[in-house]
Amino acid sequence: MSKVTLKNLSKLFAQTAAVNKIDLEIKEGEFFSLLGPSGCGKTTTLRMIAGFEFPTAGQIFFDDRDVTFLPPHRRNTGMVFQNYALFPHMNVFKNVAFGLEARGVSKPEIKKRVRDALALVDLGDHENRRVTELSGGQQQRVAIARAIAIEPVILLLDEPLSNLDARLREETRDELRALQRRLGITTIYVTHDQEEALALSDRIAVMKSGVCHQVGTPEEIYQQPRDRFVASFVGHSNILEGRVVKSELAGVQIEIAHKWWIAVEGNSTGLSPQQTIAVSLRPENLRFVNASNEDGNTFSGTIKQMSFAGAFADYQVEAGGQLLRVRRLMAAPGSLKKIGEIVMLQISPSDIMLLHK
Amino acid sequence: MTIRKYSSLFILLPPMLFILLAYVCYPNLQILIQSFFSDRGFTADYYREFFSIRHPSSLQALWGSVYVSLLTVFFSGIVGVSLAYVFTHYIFPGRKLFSLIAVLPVVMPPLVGVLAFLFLFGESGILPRLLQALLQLDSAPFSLRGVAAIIVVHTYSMYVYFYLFASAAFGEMDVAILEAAQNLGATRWLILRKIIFPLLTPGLGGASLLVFMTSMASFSAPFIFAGGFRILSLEIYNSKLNGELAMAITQSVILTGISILFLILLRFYSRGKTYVGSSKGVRLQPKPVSRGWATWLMGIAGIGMVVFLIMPHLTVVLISFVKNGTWTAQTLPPEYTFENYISLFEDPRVIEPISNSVKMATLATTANVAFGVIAAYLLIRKRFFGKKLIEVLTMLPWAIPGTVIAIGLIVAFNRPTLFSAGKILVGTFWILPLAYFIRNLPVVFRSTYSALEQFDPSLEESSRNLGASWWFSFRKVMLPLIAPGVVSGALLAYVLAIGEFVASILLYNYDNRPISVEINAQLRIFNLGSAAAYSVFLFILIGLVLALSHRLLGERGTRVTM
Repeated sequence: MSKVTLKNLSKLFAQTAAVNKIDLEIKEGEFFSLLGPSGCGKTTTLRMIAGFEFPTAGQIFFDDRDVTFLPPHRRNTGMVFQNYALFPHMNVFKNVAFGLEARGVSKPEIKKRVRDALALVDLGDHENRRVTELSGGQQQRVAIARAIAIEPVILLLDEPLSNLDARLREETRDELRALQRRLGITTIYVTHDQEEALALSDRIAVMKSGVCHQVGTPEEIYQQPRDRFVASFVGHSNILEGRVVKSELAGVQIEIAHKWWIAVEGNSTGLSPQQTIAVSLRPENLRFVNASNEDGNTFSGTIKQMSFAGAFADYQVEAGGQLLRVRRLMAAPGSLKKIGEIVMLQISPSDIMLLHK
Repeated sequence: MTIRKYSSLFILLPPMLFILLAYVCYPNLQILIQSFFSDRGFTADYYREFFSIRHPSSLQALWGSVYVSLLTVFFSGIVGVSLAYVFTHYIFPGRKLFSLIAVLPVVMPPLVGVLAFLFLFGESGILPRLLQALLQLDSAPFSLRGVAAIIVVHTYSMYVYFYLFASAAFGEMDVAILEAAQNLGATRWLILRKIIFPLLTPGLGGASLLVFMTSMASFSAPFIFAGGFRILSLEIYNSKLNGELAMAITQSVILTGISILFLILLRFYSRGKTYVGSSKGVRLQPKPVSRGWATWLMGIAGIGMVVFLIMPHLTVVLISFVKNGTWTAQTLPPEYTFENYISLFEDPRVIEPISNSVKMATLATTANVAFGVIAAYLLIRKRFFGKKLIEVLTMLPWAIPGTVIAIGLIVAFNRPTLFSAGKILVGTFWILPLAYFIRNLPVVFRSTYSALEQFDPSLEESSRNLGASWWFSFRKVMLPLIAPGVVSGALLAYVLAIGEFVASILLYNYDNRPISVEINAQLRIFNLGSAAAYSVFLFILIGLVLALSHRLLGERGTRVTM
């Protein structure tokens, strides 16, 4: 188990920065995700940690050891590739044993460790199968077994769930998390799927265009997004532009679209009146209320679209010239709103997030 | 209804069967039978003679063939695989050009390729004399002769199999697999040994068997270069010329047996041994060579390769301008002329072999197309007893060396038979087109078969559903879609027929002598210029045909992706 430190890490590909001055500290035993849209530099970062790419600038440390330019085969990281990259000419046992053979581990020891690794992923009875005969889910587990059999200091996962179908993905996600907890191994997970990152991680780094936008626990990322990109990429957000009217220690008053005055709780330092600012409202924090309630962040709107998803319903409400997403859990029968209905929306001051950029 | 359904089968199948029985089965059965019978009935004498230690010429020839073929496999493998490695892994100057030129040796008619090497590296070739002049030696410092010459020519023309197989294998290799191995702690050497090499093995195994078979059957290179060294295919020819037909027959059986044995091995080998990647993955991308000097080195090596590959062609072009009989002891030919080309158009005696070849190749290819289309159609669309047999018989000539096909025709049709309408075919015009037809049966059949295989029957059904008659849908839907495959197969067959030498040299007579035989004849009387001019004519013809075929296949490519 190692701690991983990225210091001022950059990678240029033909003059464009795939990764731009990233500083990260990944703690020992942590499940850490690099989250972002495609092309955000998350995979390049992972590949630099694995040693397949060398950074243009900056350093990588495993604990206190500088591994920046160490070749991949001497880093002792275990990587699970997006397409699993199983060796097609070897059976399951041989695949898992490969890393141990490369390390010159003795035959009986290899046998034992391969068996243990396969047992961990529930494939104990598949040793002699050809990898091409396995299902996608089984191949993925072989890839994991192969990566952990070498007892790596860090486990690197490059979108390992993206080739599985939806149901299997959720199942595997939980198994993966349980396995990681049991082994206590430092794990770096690359994904573009925010739900996956939120469900799995101890901490997440949200990236875009090679830049790290925010690092934090899933809760922090979701509830206190630092900027517009994080707010819109992680979960759904209604982002509204406004102007600061009043800034006090307890909170801020913001005018939106010359129509509504909303109160926002929270840190208002550094905000001065007349300054423009964006706020983010999560769809599930918007409530339908019965009558106008002057002081309580209320505004009226018309339901434009409704889609019913069983446990909840998603609405698009037009209010003050903007389309707002609203998600409501299903309560009493008959509480579903209809298209064209005029509704009152409310949000509590503590649920509004100020976006400083 | 049932009668209509089967009627085309009833009409088309009997002639197919007749052709296969008469011209594939019968000659080869005749060879096999006659190798066991003499005037006094059943005998194993010929085989005893073949394997006798006291007259070891046949055994020596067998060993010679195997020896040459093993070395051919070895050198072709090294050249082909290392070129494929370099050209799929690195980007450097001249890379594009090379990938075009790399397959040039394949389109060279066998005898012409041998000639080119003779002119270049032979005892009185350009290079040995050049070195001799430069270093002021009394005699040429080296020259290509005997076994070494055969192997060089074989490597030149057969490395392409390895090159193509290995390029495809490298091209399909998933980079993630190599990275996974690296991540698991494997060094470069271990990855090469445990990942890359095993992944290449199936393709290389196939290529090795293919090259071995081709080399065993090769005739032209030994014919020119062997000298005293015995090679089985050449020994068959010599036995026949010496009037020992029985011995030629027995040698043919042995050579064919080995060839078919390897064909069976090839089939077993390629079955279930390809590693289809379990996923899409990232394909290998060639990397630019990073260091400056390495770029130069690779560029120079690449250019050297290109020069080596086209030098034989250029040499033949050069020699074609040489006045007959003027090039004797000089390094480079002293006198040049257009005479050789002018006579190609004017002298009836010079034109005759060309018109013979064109006529015979056209006849054979037309028959090949008719047979190939019908056979492929029946095999894909109809169900009947004995399908497998038809397929095997059609593909069989591919495994039979050209020399043996010729011997088979001689044995079968040197007397009147039912299959030749009661006439003796040997010595007539028709024996050569027939030989070409048999040799190219698999070529046209194969390409038509795969074109038809890709044709989705539901297209025909939907055409019928829209109210088109069978004939209308055949013309408007099926034919346009399968035509490129058929035509490209036909063009290849035409090219092979027009340059055919191996069977021709055993079967021709003066009136139907083809180009290749005439090239050989001119060479024997030292009319090097005339021999080369014929060769250039073949180059041009083959180039035209291949360009046409390339266009057609490109068109099919776009159709398939649609």
